[in-house]
Amino acid sequence: MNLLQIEGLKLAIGGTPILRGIDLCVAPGETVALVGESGSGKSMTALTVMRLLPEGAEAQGRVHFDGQDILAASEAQMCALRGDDIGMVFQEPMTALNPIKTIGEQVAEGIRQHTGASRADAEGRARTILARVGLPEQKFPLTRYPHELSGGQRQRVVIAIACALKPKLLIADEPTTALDVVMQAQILDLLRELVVENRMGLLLISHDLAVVAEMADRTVIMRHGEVMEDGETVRVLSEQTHPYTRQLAQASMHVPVRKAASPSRFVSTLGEPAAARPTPSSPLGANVKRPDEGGTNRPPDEGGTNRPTPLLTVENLVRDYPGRRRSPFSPPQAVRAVDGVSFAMLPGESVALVGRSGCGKSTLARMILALDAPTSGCIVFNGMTLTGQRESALRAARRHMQVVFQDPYGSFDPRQKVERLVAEPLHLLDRAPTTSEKREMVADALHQVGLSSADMAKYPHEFSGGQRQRLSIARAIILRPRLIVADEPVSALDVSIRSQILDLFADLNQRLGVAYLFITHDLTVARAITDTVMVMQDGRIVEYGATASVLDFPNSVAGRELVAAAPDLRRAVARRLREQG
Amino acid sequence: MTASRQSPLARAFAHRSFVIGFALVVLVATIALLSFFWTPYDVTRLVVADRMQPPSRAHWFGTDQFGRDVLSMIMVGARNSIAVALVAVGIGMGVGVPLGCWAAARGGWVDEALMRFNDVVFAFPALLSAIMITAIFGPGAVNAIIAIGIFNIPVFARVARAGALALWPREFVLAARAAGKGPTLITVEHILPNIATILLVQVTIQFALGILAEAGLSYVGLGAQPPMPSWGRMLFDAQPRMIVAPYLALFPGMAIAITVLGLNLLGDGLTDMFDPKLRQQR
Repeated sequence: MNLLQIEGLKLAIGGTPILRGIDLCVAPGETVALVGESGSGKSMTALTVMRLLPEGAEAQGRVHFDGQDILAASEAQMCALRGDDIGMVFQEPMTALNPIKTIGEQVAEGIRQHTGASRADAEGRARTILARVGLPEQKFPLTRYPHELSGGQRQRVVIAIACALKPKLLIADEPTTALDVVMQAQILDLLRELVVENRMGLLLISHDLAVVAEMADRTVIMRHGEVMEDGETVRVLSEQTHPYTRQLAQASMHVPVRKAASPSRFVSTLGEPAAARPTPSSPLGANVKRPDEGGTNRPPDEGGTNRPTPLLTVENLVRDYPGRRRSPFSPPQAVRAVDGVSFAMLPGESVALVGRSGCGKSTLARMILALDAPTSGCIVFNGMTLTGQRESALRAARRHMQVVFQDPYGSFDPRQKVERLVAEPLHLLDRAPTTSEKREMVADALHQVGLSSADMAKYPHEFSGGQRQRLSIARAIILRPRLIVADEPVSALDVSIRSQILDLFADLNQRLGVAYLFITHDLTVARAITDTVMVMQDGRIVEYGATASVLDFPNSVAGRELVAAAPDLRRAVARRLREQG
Repeated sequence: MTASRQSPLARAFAHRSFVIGFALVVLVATIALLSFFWTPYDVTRLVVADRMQPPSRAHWFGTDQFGRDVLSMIMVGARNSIAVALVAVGIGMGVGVPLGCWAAARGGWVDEALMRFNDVVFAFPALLSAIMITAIFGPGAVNAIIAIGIFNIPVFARVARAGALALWPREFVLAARAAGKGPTLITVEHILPNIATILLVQVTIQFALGILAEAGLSYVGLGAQPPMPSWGRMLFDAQPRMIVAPYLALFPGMAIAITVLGLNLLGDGLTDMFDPKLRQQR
């Protein structure tokens, strides 16, 4: 007998069809993954089960939960179900919690409402469940507020709230998408354990096939509001009989074709990647643990003549942020976000900066882009010292470095048209181009990223996420910069779009010779398009080297942690096939 | 979803309170403009023989104690009210918005100093201080404008600063900074267009408050001076004659109420239209 049974579910919002006949079932103790790209209707399916649909939505079909007809249930009946028999975990742990209530209150709230337990009783149960999800009271008292916790810890609180009453069904909508890979692995482990412990049904919504391959018993693949394929995860993902499944799987493992950066280009005569070589004034011993110290990689040859001039040199960079004051009169304690970072990058080189969230990668990127001033240290870009310069003096450097941000929605002024948006960096030219020159340059940049010049007259909201990221890249390359800093440029994109954007990055690297600094926590991205990887942890660079060697044989703890936690579709399917025998 | 695809104009005119507010405001503005070219009677001519007449065909809204036509006075008074409120809002926007944007862009002590100064101005009840200012510099429309204008400055400074502060950390502003644009250019190109809608809503609110403030000031004799008619003064003059000629208070009172109501409805409509969250719920 199935716990959740959806038959022929059709949903329309304001007359627009969203779901076109979904069939889906979840048995007790079973994990079913709902996979699809954005707009496929997977979240709407979940919201229908919770009956949390937006205004104007009309659902038809049969949704039965534990023998109860969900679509016909009254609001009062649904209130009794929600949070008691059906729990839900949302994607964004930042917004899923109430910022002005303590975590203890938020967990206890649901318990009291559904069981009528006394305050003390509910608090006791909240304590137990929080300890169960990995937030023991000794370290995380119930009086903590959400902002005092990290993203992963907040997601644990959300899971605690959802699972406090041992629901029969847990719906998790992209529960780990906002987290870094290490936290993702921990949260997935926790969900897996809770499913076994409570014999819960788990409906896991995800766009990530690798996650699904590790987690789900059955997989349902959705597209445009329809179920494409439904079957056992291992079979669906190993046989890939359905063309769309194959397409998704290939996209998620996609590696752009790029001329393997010829080792001679990046490796000095000493046989070590020149770019990763530390700069003389920052002896490695200080904070960088060498992969194999004293081995084949000898200390850099200071007088090396064969070495090409680096495009970017970062020396001993430190950034402190004012932290909390212990008393109103004491000076704020400094929080060190970047702690003595040194590295160098060659022209045309593609470098990945990987690390967990909060390790200081974005702060480092901002300082390189001269958008944030370092506390101490020195950045030399294109032969010019950036640190301590006035904005007017930075113009020359800014011409040669541009930025691509993670969020394709937030990186454009919603009130300007594409022509103006993409032309923004032209401001850096000494002579302002004429209108027709400007249009020509914008058209060319759009053409380079695979858009047409007709797109110039549109507003950013008229484009899809992937197209916007192309626009973002067009804006970055319009001045033919020598360096592009890309902060998680593909993590907000669907897999098929992602592979296209990675192709575009690889292609532009070859054609325009632009160097990339890729900031990411996603190792598949790093592997796909970079030559060198730097691993960052707690504000320091703890490992660096050629991409393949670092990712295959990480030496640092942080590197090993990242590699171990990174989901990998091929590995996961192989492992599960082995398990099944 | 489909609603957001409509042109903003079409959406505006589908909104009930916006349409009513817009109509009322247009009505008052038209009357004020018309008074420049034509009024039924000359408001400066006193015809004592026709004094205190109730509404009739010749004098729709009646006549006052000097035999002036009330309708004509309301028409000219509208001109005065609108001019005072408009210029006062202009002063508030013209000074307040740049200050607020500057505070947001510069941050640090500039921000701190400007906002604390704002707090000080806010701490005085606006109308009382306006009375103080006009008491010092003498009564008159110009001083009333300045007095009301000064108290609009911190309002606009706060609204502009709050809007701008939310935009500065956004990625498109970072991208503009990476394109070498300075704070002034970014404010003009990116910040102002994006806070324009909240400022517009604030304009309708301050405009309505300005009309009320002007009426209040001229009621206590510190606004426009006779023979220039103003709504507040008309109310003041009508007060002792409330029993014999209630229409003398009724019509200027209605004029004030209709104008303020129109502006508030307009502001409500604009808020709803610009706030996507409210729009979904409606």
